[in-house]
Amino acid sequence: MPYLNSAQLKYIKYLIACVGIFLTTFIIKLIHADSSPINIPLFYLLAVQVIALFLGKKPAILASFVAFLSFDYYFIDPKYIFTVSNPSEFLALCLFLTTSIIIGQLTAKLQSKVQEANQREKETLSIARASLAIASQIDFQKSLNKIVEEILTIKDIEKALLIFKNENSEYVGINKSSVNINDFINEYKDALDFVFTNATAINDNNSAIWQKGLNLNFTKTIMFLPVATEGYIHAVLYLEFNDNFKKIDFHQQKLIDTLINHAGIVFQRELLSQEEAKLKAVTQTEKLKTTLLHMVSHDFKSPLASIKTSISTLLYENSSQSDSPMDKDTVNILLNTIDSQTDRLNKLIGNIIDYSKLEANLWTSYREIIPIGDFVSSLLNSFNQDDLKRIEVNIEPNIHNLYIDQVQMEQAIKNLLENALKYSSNDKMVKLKFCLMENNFDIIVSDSGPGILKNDSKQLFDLFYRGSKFQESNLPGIGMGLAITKGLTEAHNGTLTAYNKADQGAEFRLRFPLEIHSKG
Amino acid sequence: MKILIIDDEPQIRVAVKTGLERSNYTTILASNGDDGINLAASQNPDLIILDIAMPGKDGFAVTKELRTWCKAPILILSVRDDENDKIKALDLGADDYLVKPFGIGELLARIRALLRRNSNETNISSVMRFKNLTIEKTTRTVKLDDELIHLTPIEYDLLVYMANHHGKVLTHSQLLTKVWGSEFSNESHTLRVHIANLRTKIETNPDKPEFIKTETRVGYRFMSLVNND
Repeated sequence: MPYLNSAQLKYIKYLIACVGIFLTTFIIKLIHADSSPINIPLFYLLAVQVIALFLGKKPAILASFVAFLSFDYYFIDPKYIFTVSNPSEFLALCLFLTTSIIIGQLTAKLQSKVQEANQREKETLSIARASLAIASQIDFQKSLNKIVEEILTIKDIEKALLIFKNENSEYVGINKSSVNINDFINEYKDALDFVFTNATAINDNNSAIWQKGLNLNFTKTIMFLPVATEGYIHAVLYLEFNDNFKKIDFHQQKLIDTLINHAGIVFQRELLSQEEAKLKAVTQTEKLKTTLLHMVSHDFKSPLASIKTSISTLLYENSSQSDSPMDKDTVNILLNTIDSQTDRLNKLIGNIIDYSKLEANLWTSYREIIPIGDFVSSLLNSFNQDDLKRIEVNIEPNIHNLYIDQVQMEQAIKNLLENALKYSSNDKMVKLKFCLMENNFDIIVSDSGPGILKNDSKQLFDLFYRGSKFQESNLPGIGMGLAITKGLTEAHNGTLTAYNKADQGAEFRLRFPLEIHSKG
Repeated sequence: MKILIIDDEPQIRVAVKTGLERSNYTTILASNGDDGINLAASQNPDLIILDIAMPGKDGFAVTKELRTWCKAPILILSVRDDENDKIKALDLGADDYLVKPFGIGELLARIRALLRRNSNETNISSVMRFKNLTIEKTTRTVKLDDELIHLTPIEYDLLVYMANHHGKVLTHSQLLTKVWGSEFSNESHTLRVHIANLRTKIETNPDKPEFIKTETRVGYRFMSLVNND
């Protein structure tokens, strides 16, 4: 009867007890059981026992008295008046009342023992389920969900929330009750802060103090219990009890404590796995730094060496009074070397800046709707006339606008086009294709170069990885282009894949969700 | 032709001065913004090359101040490849920008384009010719290879505005404000659509345009001398 409160429920129980006795009286009259006087007390005792079994101690006492009075009123002479003519019958009535009360109380006690045993069994099962959940669920959130679910099965607990702090030190919660978690956190922030900082529970022993101290307004019994391991507070368990709740009993306390300890273990485990991940990240960063240092020293020093040598040769020539001056062609070769190596250095620095921005999440996307033609012409703008002659653009006619960060997308495709131009011979065409399909939008760059070697394909998009054929070649590059393209593609929710074409050459495909294409 | 170079780095000043003098330009050098403004006032240069990142008064502040009285084209030099910086300088009144490091060939080409326009600007003729493209302002007609092409009024206004400022980078908001009106200054998509349409009408290959070049995220530039810059 969920719509009745506990006080109303109590009165209903007493009412049922009374009705039960009246009904018994009616049945005795109906079947003329009173023809043999011994039947009457037995009928009433049976009724009291049934009432004790289902309604508990106090309704049973009331039933005993009502039965006593009914017995006297209806069945003992003089009838229909509360008096007894025969003193021996008075004794019998008193004995009946006593017996009735004793039987009622024994029955009720037995029933409550049975209920208690059932409850214990349920609690044991609940702990067993929570333990199993923790042991089998590696997932942090799922384990905590399970524990909160189990806490909610404890008697009289109406709501249970597990509140902890996320990586930004904001409160978040595991919520299996109909509570708006944000409102809850706002309302009880002081209480949560208190439990977190002092590791002290706010429970029914001290709630009156906290009501005043933290300005809480309790209409129900609530508790804030710390979830801690080794003195470290992981979370706060909030419990709200229903109206039947009076005082926490030993078994409830034990069960709550056990489940809190379980939650503590889950938090501890999560903490450890985070530490492990951090350690892994540090190791990877260290590795990256070493690789970077190696690359920087090699790839920066070689263009610098060419520049320095060329310039010092020119300077020497300029200062010496040699009889055979350097011919114009030689001077030109040296100057062109300086020019091209400066460009190479500039490109390297640009790549490192781009990659660092991507890595540090400092390169925020600014997406706009760009007509495809505008995008392509802007993309091709940075290529010289010789390269342009080798680039064949193919745009499907149903493509209108792109919804992209123009600078980032240009950079992503430019890297692919530059690679394609660089790794295929000067007379071969490079194709750039835009395809709108049912579920995807693809941008494909393909060349007729040597293709991708099988053992390169796995590491192709790794930072500083260069195809094994080209590692020591004099084709410029340090293997950042594809890593940058991959990063920029992912910033647009896309994927980058590479494969060899059936005939000859490599094909790089940027695949995006349809949101990248806009008809507007 | 007299060119004022304002840059705090002596190496850049010397390198640019040498390059320009070999192409028969006269140069004046200033190492900071205030000196630059004073020299611009006293020497009346034909063009100003201005560095953005300078201690004291930076390139933005100098542009802003110069534009209150000086009409000479301003070419911005910047090490930062940051679109917002370019847009800011252009909106303040600069005419073009170059990102360091740059080749002297590129610098000379930009200077030529800017000076050419500036000499035309005083008497913008009623007929403008760019390679095979002819704009006749009196009749509001545009011809490609002597064949009349049909432009909508807004496309015509856009083309004429860009042609009048050929060689100069025009930002999205400049074009929108001048052609559509100031309340449209943020509607860059509208502009992009009209540019795309204009390109299909006047460019031989709209994907590789020769007249209207896109300056990524910044704006557009109308190329004055095709195949010659």
